[in-house]
Amino acid sequence: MDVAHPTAPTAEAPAALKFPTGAIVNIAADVDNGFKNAITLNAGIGPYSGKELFMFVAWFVSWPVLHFALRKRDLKLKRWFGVFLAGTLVAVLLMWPPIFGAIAAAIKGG
Amino acid sequence: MEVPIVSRLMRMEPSLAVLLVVTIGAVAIVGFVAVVTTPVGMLVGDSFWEYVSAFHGLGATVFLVGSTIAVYLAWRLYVGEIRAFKDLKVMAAFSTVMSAFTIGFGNWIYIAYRSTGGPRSYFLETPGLEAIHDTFFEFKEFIALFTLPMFLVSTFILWRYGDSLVKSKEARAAASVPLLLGWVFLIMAYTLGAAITKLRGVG
Repeated sequence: MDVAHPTAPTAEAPAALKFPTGAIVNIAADVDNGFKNAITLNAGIGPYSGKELFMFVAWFVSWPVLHFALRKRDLKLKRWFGVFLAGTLVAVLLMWPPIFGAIAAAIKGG
Repeated sequence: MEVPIVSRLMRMEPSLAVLLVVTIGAVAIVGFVAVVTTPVGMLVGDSFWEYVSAFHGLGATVFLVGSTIAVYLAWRLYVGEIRAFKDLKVMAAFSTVMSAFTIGFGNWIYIAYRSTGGPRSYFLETPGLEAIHDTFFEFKEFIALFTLPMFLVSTFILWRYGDSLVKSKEARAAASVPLLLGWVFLIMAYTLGAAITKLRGVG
């Protein structure tokens, strides 16, 4: 089965990778005002423009990279699908403002 | 005499053909009656941003309807009992396009949301309403982005591997679960968007 659908995990991994990237950028923007200003690519949209760009670039770049790196490997679909689900859950939690706000405050305080 | 569109519809799977005809027919009839008999424009408003907002909301609603059909079919795939696999492929692709469309209009309307005197400043300056922006809108704007990779990854797997997925339990899960997750993220964003707009829309 894994050989029959070898690139299914490489399709899902970039999607899972996009989310933590977004969470990290989000927290970094909360911690550092300079970074927040640097990722403000559009004055109307604000820092969200840079956060969104980081997330989509991480996703679109990692997809072909992982595709070519892993396409001939016999991946265990069940295991990597579990990693994808766990990564997605963690990313959703890290996007919840009370959580990423508390992490950013802890970093600033530290 | 053979009418091309009709003969093409007749060759399509019944479920998709019926869905297409009923949807277009219903929208056309309701739209025509509404435009002829009432000042429908008043429901949208008369400012530029209200029209952008209407497209964002309509896009999200069409996305919700399409993805709900896709999720039902994805469930049938997950349990190994799907018959309309072609419909699932089409609805997953359609939902992906609608996700991109809605996110695009969401970015555009976000400019009005953040503008001076816009909903964001209203929430932040009104005592007791700060959490509407700080928590709920902040979460909505990110969780809405999660829909696109979820629907795209399912669409990719469905189109890349076709009905060979049906034979493998894990492959069926890999194709269908992201679609379900994307739908859950859409429900979160849709509900929060509707609730926040109810409190303060763009003008």
